[in-house]
This record gives sequence, C-alpha cells and structure tokens, in this order.
Amino acid sequence: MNNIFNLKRFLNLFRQLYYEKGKSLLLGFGLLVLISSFIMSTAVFEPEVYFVFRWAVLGLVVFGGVHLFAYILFKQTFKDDEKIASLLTLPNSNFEKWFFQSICVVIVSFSVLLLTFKGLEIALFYVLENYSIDKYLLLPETYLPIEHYKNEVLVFLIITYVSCIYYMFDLSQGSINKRIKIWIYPTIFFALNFLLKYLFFKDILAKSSWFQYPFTDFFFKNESEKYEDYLVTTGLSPTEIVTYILLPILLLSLAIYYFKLKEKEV
Amino acid sequence: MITFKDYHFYYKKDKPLFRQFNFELDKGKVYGLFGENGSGKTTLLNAICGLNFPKKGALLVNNFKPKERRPQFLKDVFFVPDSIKLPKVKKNYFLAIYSVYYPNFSHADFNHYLKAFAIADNEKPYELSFGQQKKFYLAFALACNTSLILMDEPTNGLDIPSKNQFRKILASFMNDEKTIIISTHQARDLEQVIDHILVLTKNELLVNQSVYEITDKVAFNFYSSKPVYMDHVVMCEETIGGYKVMEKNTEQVQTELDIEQLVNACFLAPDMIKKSLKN
Repeated sequence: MNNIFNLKRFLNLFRQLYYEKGKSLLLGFGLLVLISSFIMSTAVFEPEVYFVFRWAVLGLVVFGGVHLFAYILFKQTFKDDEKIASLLTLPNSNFEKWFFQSICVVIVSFSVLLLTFKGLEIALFYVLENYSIDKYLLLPETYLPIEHYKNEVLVFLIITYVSCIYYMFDLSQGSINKRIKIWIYPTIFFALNFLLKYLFFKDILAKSSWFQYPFTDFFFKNESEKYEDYLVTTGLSPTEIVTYILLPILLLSLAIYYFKLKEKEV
Repeated sequence: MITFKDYHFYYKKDKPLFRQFNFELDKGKVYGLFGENGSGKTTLLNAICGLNFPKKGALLVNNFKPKERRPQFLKDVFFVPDSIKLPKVKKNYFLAIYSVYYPNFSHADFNHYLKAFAIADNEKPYELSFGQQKKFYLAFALACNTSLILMDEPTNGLDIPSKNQFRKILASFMNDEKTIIISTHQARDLEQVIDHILVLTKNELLVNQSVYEITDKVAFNFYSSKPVYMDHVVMCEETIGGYKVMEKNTEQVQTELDIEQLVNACFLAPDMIKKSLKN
C-alpha cells in the first residue's frame, strides 16, 4: 500500500466534500452568481456601481480573502474536536490531506470566485459595447483619478487585519491557550502579507492602476458628461499574482495545516 | 500488539500525565480502561490512534508508530469518541464515503448491527437522537472489522435494552485477531464482556491484569454483617442490607469481579491493591 499518495484515496476526499458540502457550496455559488448578476445588470445603467463592485471583489480576494480563509480554517481546526479527530483518523496520508485542503480547496475556491466575476464582467462589457454605445464611448486612452480611494482602502485593510488578529487570539484561547506558536506563525504571515500588499498597493496607486488581474482593461467615456471618463487597467502580472496573492495564502495554509497534522492534540 | 516503552506524556511540562510508562497489551481481548476524571484515559486512547504524540519514549501499535498516521495503520484502527456528531449526509452516502477506507467493511454486518440495535430506518442518520446516532456509529465501527477498536464511553447515551444488545454484539464480534479497548465510567454496563482490566491512577497503571488473574487473587463477597477479622480485607464497604467486601482469595474460590469496587479500592487503598494483586 502506498503510504504517501493513492489516487483512489485522494479522490475519496473530493467525494466526501461533494457529499457533505456539495449542496451548500452549490447554493452559495448560486447566490454569488445571482447577487453578482444583479449588481452587473445595475452597472449597465450606472457604471460607478461596477467600479465599487470590482473594488469589493478585489478587496475580498486580495486583501480579505487570505484572512477569511485563514479564519475558516482555524475555526474548523480548533473549535470542533470531533471533526478534527474524524479528519486525523481518516485513513488518508498526511500528504493527501494537506494537498487536498491546502492546495486543491484554495485554488478551486479562488478560481471559482474569479472566473465567476470574469464571466459576468465579459457579459457586462458585451452589453455596454453593444447596447449602451450611445451613452458611453470606449476610448483607448483615458484616465481614472483614484487617489481619493486611498484612505478607504487603508481603513478596509486595517479592519481586516485587526479582525483576523482578534480571531486568531480568540481561537487560540481554548484548549491550546499555551501553545502560542500556533498563532505566532500565521500572524507573522499576516504581517508579511500586509507589508507586501501595502508597499505594492502604494506602488500601484502611483501607477493609477490598482484594479487588478484578472480584471479586464476597461475604457469608456460618458458622452452625457454625467460621469468622469474612466480607465481601468490590469495592475498585476501573473507572476505578481503568484508572489503577492497565492504564495502568502499557500504559506499561511501550510503553516496552519502543519500544526493541525503534526501537533494537534484532541 | 500495543507496546508502551518508557512512554512520557504531558500537556503541561511541570505536570506530567504519564511518566516512564511500560506495558504491553496483547491482541484478542476486550480491555476495560478505568480511572478517575483527568487520569488520562482519553489521552491514552488518543495516543494509541495517533491523535497525540509521546513526548519521550516509544509507542508501537501493530508495529506502527501511531504518530505517523500512515494509511496502512489507520485502516486497521477505529476510534469511537465519547461525543458523536454524524456528518449531514444520507446513510448511503455515509457508507460510500467512509466504508471504502476499511477493506474488511461488511455491509451485511452493518445491517445486522443496525437491526440488533433497533435503529429506526432513517435515510438521514444525522437527524436521529444522540443515542441513535451513537448506535449507528458503533454499528459502523464494528462493521469495519478493524483489528483494533478504541471506544471512549461507548454506553453513554444508550438506553437499557441497547446496552444489553451492545454486550451481546461485542461478545459475538470478538475473536483472537480483534482487540477492543473500552474507556468507561459505567463499569456495570460492560462488566460481563471485559476480560482484562486496566486502572489508571495518577501517573501510574495500577492494575493491568486479566479478570481471571484478579479473581484468582482477590474475592468479592457480600456479608450481612461486618467481618470480624480484617486481616485479609482489602476494602469493606457498607451497603443496603450488609457489607461488600473485597478480600484476599485465601480459599481459592473464584467470585464474580466487581469492577466498581476494584476501581474504588485502587483510589482509596492503592498500596493494598498493589500488594494483593502482586504475583
């Protein structure tokens, strides 16, 4: 028997997730599509709604997503002893459990979120291009002044980090209150994550291109002069996405999972 | 089969729970694990199935180190925790997900145990009462036919007929290749099926003997009046209508083991117990 990886055993983890959480995940996904579709349809008439929504998605994925994910993992890990005992005694290898929870689930959940947004965004542009051409003209070179968003984003960042530190502290107070290492590691990652993003965020503010991949470059001009002219460009290259978004997420989940698998005492 | 060698464990460094633990458990027996609250019964079960790790020393189960949690080890061990919360999946899905991990799982056995426990035929076991969920999980655990089953308070939440059924099922389930370790405070529920007693006191495994060995050395008698000669008495307890007496088995007559009295004696007179059960 292969004690490191066995495809049948590994696929059974997917099956478990599908049977146990399939309905709620599909419901959540449906709700996400429904709300996004509603917002996007509103954006056809009010383009500024689209910018706010784009900003919210960016915030969720890049600035809040890591911490939300960490919180969910921690909550699952340290608040429910029965679930932990059940997971740890399941005859999968440590590698299979780690690869499934730390890699597959992260990548799949972020991909679903971003692809959903991307699909809806394409639909929005199609509508704007084909049906709202009288109102908005797509232009190759226009500029969106976004400096005034800086403070809101900083407040958002600080709230996210403070909330996460609080969650970490709260979760570390139970049966593992003396095991300070468990929350020191992720906190270090939070700090690192914060530093990278803040520095990078400043940089992209200067470039006036804080809207990020996989968002589409988007230019349009309001002919009726009700709105300003807009330029929204992609701010992150795929390499930067890996460096600033995916890597911190993976490192964080790796750190959490390390303790979960190696040191968790039920 | 299970070997603790110089096993050392603590949650707080200055308060060791187990120090220099050395003992072996053979296969083919039903072990009853007893002890006060906080004596480390659940911790010991967790250690055996790999949920916590020795701080020093070694622990081997079926020649595996539990802390490595290898699939080959885990597929032959089943742990039934004290508190059960079934996942929110239908019965068929539950079986589809979990039974594939255990190569000796038998659907026929599972259905037989469900019937024996008189579990309501419900497609959604997670909607059942706590006791029914526990019986469902026990039926699944036994149907997995693993060589080692660990049970933490298995009779908690079970009604009286179910406890009786559970005893019968355990008796029919056992063979020379299977081992069950049961941690419980409900000694009377399982007195008839346990054939080896383990009593944990502070930092020590005070009793590690078979029921036969124990009843060979001590007798459990009931007298209407208090014994006059107390030389051989390990423990004398006043009860309704007389006195329960645990004494040295000087007459070499085997009596029925009273686990509750034995465990009580372990805490009240540990030195006497050591002396009486000494080979």
